[in-house]
Amino acid sequence: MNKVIKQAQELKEDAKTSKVKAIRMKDTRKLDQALGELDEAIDLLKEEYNRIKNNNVEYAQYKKDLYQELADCYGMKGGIYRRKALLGDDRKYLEDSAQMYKQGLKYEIDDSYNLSNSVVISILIDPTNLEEKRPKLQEGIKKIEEQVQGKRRDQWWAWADLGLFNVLMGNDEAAFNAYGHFTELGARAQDYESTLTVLSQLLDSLQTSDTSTSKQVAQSINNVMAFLKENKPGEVSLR
Amino acid sequence: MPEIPPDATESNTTDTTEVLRAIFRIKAGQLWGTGFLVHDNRHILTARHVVERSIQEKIEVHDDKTELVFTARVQKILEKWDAALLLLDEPITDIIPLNLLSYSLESSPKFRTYGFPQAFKRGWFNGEVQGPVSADDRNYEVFIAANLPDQLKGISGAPVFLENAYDVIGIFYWHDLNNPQSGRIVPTAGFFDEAFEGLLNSFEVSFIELDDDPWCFVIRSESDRILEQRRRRHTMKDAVLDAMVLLQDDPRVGRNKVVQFGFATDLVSSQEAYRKTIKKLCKARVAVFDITHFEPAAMLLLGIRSVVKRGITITSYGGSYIIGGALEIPFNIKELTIISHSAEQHKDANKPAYIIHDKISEGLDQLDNLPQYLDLPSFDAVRNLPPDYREPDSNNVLVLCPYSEKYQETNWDDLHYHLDLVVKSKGGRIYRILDLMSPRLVSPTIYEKIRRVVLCIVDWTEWRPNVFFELGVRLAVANKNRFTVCIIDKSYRILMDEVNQSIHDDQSIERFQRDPNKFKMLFQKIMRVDTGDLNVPDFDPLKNRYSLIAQQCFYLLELFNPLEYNPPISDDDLNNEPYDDQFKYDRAQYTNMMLNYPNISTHEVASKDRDGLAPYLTYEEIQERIDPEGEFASVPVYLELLRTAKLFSVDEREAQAAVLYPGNKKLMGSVETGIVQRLLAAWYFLRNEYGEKEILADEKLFEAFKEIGQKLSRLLEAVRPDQSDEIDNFVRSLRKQKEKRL
Repeated sequence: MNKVIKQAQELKEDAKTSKVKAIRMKDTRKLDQALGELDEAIDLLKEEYNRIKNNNVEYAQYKKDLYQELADCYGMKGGIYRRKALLGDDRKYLEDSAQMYKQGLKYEIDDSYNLSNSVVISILIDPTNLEEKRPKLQEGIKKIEEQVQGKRRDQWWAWADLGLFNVLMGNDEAAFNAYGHFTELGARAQDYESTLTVLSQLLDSLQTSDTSTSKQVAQSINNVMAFLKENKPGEVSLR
Repeated sequence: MPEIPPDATESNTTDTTEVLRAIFRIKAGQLWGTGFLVHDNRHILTARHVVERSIQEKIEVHDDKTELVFTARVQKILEKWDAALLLLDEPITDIIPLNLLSYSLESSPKFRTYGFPQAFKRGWFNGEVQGPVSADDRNYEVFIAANLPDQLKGISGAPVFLENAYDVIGIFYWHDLNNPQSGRIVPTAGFFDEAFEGLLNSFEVSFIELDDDPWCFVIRSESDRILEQRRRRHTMKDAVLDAMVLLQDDPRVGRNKVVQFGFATDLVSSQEAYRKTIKKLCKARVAVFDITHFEPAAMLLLGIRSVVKRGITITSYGGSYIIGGALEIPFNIKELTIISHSAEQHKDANKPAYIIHDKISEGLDQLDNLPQYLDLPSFDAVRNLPPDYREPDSNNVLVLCPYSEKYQETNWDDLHYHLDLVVKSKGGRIYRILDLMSPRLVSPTIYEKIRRVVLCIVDWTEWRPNVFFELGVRLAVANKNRFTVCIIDKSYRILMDEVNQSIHDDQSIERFQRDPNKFKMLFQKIMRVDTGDLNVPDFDPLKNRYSLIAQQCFYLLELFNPLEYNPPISDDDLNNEPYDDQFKYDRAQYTNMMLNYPNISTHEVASKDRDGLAPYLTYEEIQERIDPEGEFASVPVYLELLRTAKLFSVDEREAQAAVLYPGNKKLMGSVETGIVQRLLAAWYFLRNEYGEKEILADEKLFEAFKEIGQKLSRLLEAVRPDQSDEIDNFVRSLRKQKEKRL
């Protein structure tokens, strides 16, 4: 593996560990540590990208790899800011989070992490955004549907994102179908936990809105959460 | 209109003219490049890739001014650089060699170079050094300041001069096909050391250290030799060299890997050559076998390779075979994915070089990630014997032999009858591979027997590929407590002697093959068969194969000295008086094959010094050379635990289960637990066995420690947060110490 990619991946691993520890300890300083680690990774990746950007032939695959890493790093930063907003109860971090997902979207290839989270975050910022996001949601559904027909067919995150977009669109049947795939593909307890956290945040946000769409979607989210909790596997038991 | 570079030969300055005299066009096989005289009147420097296909061949050095063509040989491929030193067969007089400068290119100097790009015939090109290619690649990127209308193919090997000077600071070796203004040079400062100076002062050709361990070892067929003699481009050698060029930017391979080629015939031509070959089979990370016509020597070596190395082994067939076409494959290598390097395959979009490149690349990945990667059938089967199946089998006798109808009728029935007489009385059995009965899979059953049986008789009659593959396996596993007796129906030895003699008389295999009757007549005479017994359409392949393998069969006979036995006597012949003595003699020969069977009565032995016992040199050589890291049991326990944990772990970005039935929550739970337990076991082992200093000093250990710690820390977060923190803190502190050290 290329040295730069390896270094960036190590920093990402550190950031992931810092993040899970921050959540358990409810320690925002650990989240800052994770952000620092991701910034370091982003700097490395961008520097490398600038070095090779003019060579279109020899580095085509390498460029794609760097893009993927950058999309990942920005997506992770988005997630950490979202956690900061939650832990510190400071909504200004939601704006930072939105900014990061937007950055991540620029680099996203064959994925939907930044796409789905950029929609989620705009609804968390203001639940009335749900109506105006409908064209974007429809576009996202089309894109992810194409992906799950292809090489993301066995990826549970792809199905979770598809489920999320459908639930926000009010397509309950399609949403349950997608979440059904999610439960069948081997998602682990921590993956369920992460999915439920997002749904729960959306639910809290939508419950502050009086529109009939919000109420209907909130009800659907409740149903999906019940379904996921019912199917959630147990934690690892060492003895 | 694109600007054509000016031709400085027209500038007529004395200095320039002298310098230009020292620069030559180089022709190596089909490739053209540039080279220049250095140090004295015998040495030429050029780019490695121009000549590396032609090591061991004459290289042409063209002097355009005098139109003389000199010849040279590769003296040395310079390791680590795309450069090679040639040694002229005769000195070039009256030309002053160029001066090499050990000059740092860090200051990005302006330069000029002169060479022979085919599109322009010759010319000067100016430019500027940009900087090192990368931290790992010490060559330099250059910008060529000319609007070039075409590629610079042919300029590789050109000397690079400082602007306004005639000292050489580099060698031009690469340019971007899509952007002719972008290129790369080798800095001469890089290879300026004592060894290089020593070479310049030597007139010895040392391009290949034949005793070096090759990274890639290529075993070629006689068909490939003929293609090379005819200067055809679709040889096995070409395909592998092209693949290596494609692989040179792969960091796992690079430019410096030793690739060695050998014809199977030559590799068994003496005991010394055979020993060296076994060593290479043990060491080479990649082995490529040209199995065209399933030559006995190639199959023998393939059988050995299948036991000695968990590496990458590629088998390829030439002739008219294309992948997916019909090919009668010996049954014990049917599981192999045989590729093709035939002329037809070269015409396909999926060319042999691409296939070999992909196979090596994928193989390297899998070797790193799959603990039990295998591309040949016997490696694990001869090692992993179940506890109850390890003791030697001295009662039964295994016969490795052909299964053709002709062999069955002419040889096997009789052989079986006579050998069985001896074995039955001791309560044992004579059996062939096909007679093995076991509920287990075919492969483990066969190779386990080949290892366990004390006496194994190998019948070379018909020179069958499956027999030689199995013989290779047997020789590789048989220590001095095992006996491998090679035998051959005498007619097949005589036939090979006759074929060899005829080829010698005709002075070429091809001439011998062109004669429609010669081989047929030999066969009929020696095998005592009627014309009607041989159907003509099947006869040509037999003739082609036998004429190609005749020489190596001679070597194999010399090397292993198999026990000859006479073709059995028919019932009619038996009734005739003169054959009575012969019959007794034959009976004695069968007994002779059984000399090493426990407690055999030897009073009927024909000749004690001709017992056909194969020497133990194969086993002895392997025992000395075997790579311990390839043995399953010698993989450090923490690496084994890490590997198996990774085998079922989830890549978080991919979010794709490695388990076959991920919808089963109970199964997923137990797999997750299994992964954590393995990592935990590895962690405990490392923490108890190694101190911080040891871990920091050993790069491999440090990497494993870090990976195990990182994974484990996150996996334990939900169930054992305190332990997770402790692991995380320890790994981070260790990494900080490492960074400080660096």
